[in-house]
Amino acid sequence: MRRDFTRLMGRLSVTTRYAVRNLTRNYRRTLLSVAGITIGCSIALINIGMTRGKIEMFIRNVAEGGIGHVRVVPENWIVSHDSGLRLHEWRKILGELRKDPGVAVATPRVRIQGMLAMGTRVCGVLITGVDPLTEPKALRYVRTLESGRYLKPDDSHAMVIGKSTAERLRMGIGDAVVVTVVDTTGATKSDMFDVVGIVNLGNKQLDSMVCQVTLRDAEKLSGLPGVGEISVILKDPGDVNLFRDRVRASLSGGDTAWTWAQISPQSEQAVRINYIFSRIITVILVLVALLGVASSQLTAVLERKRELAMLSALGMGRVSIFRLVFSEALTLGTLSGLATMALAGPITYYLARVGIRILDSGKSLTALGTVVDPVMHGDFGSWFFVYAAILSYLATVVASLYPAWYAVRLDPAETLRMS
Amino acid sequence: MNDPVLVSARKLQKTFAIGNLEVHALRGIDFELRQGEFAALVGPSGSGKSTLLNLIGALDSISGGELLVLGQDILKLSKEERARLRLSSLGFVFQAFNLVPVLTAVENVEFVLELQGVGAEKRERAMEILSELGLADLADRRPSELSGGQQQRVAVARAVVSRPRLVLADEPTANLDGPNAESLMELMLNLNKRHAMTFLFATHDPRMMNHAGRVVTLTDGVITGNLVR
Repeated sequence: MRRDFTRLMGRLSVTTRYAVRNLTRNYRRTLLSVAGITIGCSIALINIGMTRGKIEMFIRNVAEGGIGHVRVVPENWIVSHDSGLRLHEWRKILGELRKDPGVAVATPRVRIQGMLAMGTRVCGVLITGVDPLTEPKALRYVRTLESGRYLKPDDSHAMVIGKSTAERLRMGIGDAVVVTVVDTTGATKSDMFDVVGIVNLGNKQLDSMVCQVTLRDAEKLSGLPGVGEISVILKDPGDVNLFRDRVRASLSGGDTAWTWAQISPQSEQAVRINYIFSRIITVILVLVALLGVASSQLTAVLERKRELAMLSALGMGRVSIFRLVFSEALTLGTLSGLATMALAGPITYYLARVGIRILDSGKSLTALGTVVDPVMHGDFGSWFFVYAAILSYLATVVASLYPAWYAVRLDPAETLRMS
Repeated sequence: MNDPVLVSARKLQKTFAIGNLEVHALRGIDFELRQGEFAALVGPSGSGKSTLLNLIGALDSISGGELLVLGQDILKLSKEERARLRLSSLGFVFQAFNLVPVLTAVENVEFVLELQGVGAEKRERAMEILSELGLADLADRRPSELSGGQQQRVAVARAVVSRPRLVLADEPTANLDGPNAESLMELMLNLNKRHAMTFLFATHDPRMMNHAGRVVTLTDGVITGNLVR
């Protein structure tokens, strides 16, 4: 091993060998510098991993909370949010979306303002007509039911409701509820539905938003054929803008597509704020590590003033001196990068796979209209290695700028005279 | 004395400012050095020997007068141009050897060639000069593994490896014992004779003065003697 290292060193330029060996002059200082950068960059990377994971979770929750990554809607819907608007050729659009390899699921919906009544108890709801086969893949809230079952494609006059609505109306599985809506002519229209499933999200506000029937029943209730939206969940949400543009280009007849960020600007803002805070923390951590390394590198240069002056006397130009100090920084950066990967890698990987439990089981928390997962996962991937290298090199290279500048400005005659 | 002039100083002055005080290290000296000379600068401490060497070595800027080194007006050269002049045409030997401690003897010599842009043959050339100076067996040793005399011989090898036209040495034997100092002088003299390399060295050492073909005496920043043998 030692022989291999000697052979490898022999292949390097003398300047590089000089730079590498300079780090061995004072092991303690080198180790402290590497430790400083490693710890700073590791905390920054763990923070970045957790932020990425948190944001990914948040976007997934927003998308699978009903909005979708992309939603195909009639052109004016974004302004009016009119549930009476219908898509042109929705079956053709849906077929094409489902054929797209980037799409995880595409599901059609119809929304109708209505009223549920049971005996003397009444409550207003937003009834959603859904495709029972694809809806649970797009809306996480209906994947697990507290009681009963979910809708089936051949169901007629069947309904799934949230627990809070069920409690307000004092309904249970198998109970019949009167649904009243206002149809396209302005006349009220009522029909009877059987409650087949109850969803419990642990949050009254979100529970009350669940009131689902089949698409066919919703069309009958509203008196309007077709669907009002197609919600799309993507396999890779990072491609959302490209996908939206591609979908828009393929649409005709006044239909369009919007991303989750456009439909829910407050969610997009929350994501942006999270990113900004994460970046501020990263910058602070790297800056602290960087100042420590700059101080250590400057001390190393000050200790070698005479040597640097001698090299200058031999004809070593400013660029070469700068390159020498810079090469030391790059070597330090390489060591720190590897140490950062070794330290932060397993932690970030663990946090991505196992995560941190932020809520006790059975408890629920909502944020910006979405249910927060009880376990928060970080993110780990190829980005980690790229970021580790960039942060480590950035910290060491920036930290070496002032010491390198100081070294090139040394007056050889003055320094040799004084020492 | 038809050899070309390598160094020409006219009314050369150097003044250092120490706080509000001005110290006149050189007070308008006239000096010439021709190719192939083996000249000694002598004089008491503070007489201006090292200052003159630093000016000729393009390490320092002049305060007045004129100084031509290898035909170039030092006053008109930028810092980078002075560094290039030092690298291409001048060799330096310092009192304290000043070898790079983390490089081996051969790497210390090779380093200068690398700075000059010499490619693959730099190792061969470095070994060649070390062999010529009887240091081939010590090539892979670091300075800390060499005696003072050996270190100074490596420093001379480093100074002459690129065959500079002028070698400047500031008290090169000051840290050496008698036999080592004598041996170093013989080595420098050999290089002077065999390669027609010009040497200008500052010294206090009377044994060194005896080897010099010319002894220039400096006192309080002025030349007070010029003995040619």
